[in-house]
Amino acid sequence: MSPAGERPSRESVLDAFAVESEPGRSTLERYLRLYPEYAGALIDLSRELSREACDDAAPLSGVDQALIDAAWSQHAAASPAAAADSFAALTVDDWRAVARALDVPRQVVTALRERRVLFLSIPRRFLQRFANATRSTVAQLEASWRPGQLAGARSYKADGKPTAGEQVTFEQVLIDAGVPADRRALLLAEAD
Amino acid sequence: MGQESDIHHTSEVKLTPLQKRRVSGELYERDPKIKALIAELAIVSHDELITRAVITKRSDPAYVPSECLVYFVRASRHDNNEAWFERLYRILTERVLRSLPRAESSDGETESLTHGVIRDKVFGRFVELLSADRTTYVDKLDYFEVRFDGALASLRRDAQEQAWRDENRSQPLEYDEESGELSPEVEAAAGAYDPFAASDFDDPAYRSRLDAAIEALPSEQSRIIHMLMQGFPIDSKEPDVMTIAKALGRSEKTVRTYRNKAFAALRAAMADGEER
Repeated sequence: MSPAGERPSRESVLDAFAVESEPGRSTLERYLRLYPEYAGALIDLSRELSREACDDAAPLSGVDQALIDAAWSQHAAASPAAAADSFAALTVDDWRAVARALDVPRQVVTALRERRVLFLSIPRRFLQRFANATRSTVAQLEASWRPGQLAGARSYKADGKPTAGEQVTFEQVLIDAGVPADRRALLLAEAD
Repeated sequence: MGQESDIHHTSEVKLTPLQKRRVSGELYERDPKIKALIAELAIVSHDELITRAVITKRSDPAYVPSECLVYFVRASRHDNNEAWFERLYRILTERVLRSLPRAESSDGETESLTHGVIRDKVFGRFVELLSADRTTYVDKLDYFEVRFDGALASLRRDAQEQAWRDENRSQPLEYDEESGELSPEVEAAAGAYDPFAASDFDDPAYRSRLDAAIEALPSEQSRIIHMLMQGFPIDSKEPDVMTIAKALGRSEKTVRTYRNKAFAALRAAMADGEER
């Protein structure tokens, strides 16, 4: 995106050219006219784009295998940061909307938010809906429920609240919140 | 309120939209074919996805384009390093490696230092983008979901530019630009030689050697050769026609001189190759 009058950056022009659906002569010509200041790089890129895709089927060399191994280790170590604090971005209004979307009392949502519910006691189907409503994923929720994450999530609201370790089942939370039995059965159902 | 089906869609796959914007300001979108294939693959088992992802032959009807693999690797960024995800990651990165020119030539006779450097740089950059994307959305990766080969070509060009800079390949040529004269030897060597008119131009082995020879030229010369191959005229009487001279900001005479020099170098390189 470029504000009016501002020239797009060299990188954005080159990347845009690279993903054009028809990177042939006429597209190159168009870019050369629009961005003559990047002519050299555009022509070099055009040459790279015209290269035939080489699909060699030979087995990978030991060096290549090592490159991929190293890349994977690095990738696996880069943990998703959002997991620890997947609710951080949600406002009070958002939480209200979550309760509405799931059609449960606020109290239930608060218990989930504070991870006072035993994770394994939450039905998968409800978990998926909760993840959708909180713009998160089941895997992310699961990660955020791990012991290491709990302390941080709760530390600032320790006053008068149960301390870590006192998790209750999802069903108990529903009972405590006064959810009627038939509605409870619906919420606890694993399938429609 | 209370409608269980509001959020619970099983048959419908919602694709996270891309965040990268075009130079004009609109958001990039995935190709409709890619979108359809992602939707199709999102509901198959992980095992089936992997079975299809390992297919490398693009002509195979079950082949999964790399755009889709990038999507699944990014969409699974929170999937806790499960075995299938590791497999998918390895398949994708292997495809990147395979698409990059190797340091050693196909006959194993020569080794290109530049190729080796470019290969390492591009691979390193790609995996760095993927890793960074696990923690914060990296919109540059969106290009790989729009057109994978093009986005990779762009990384190759970046790496090539750095490599050339390190090799000083973009230094001005030794010849006197003012007079624009080439030595008679060079003129004679270029002669009537036209590397694109060779009878074996369509032979892949010839093309591959020619490509390598073009790549070895000084950057200005390789640009001229590429533009000639694309069909751009060197010069034109018509002011509206895009010409090589105009694009490169050089006089017609300079472009012709460079071209002759490039042809001479290509001829020597191709003759050299034939003797092997």
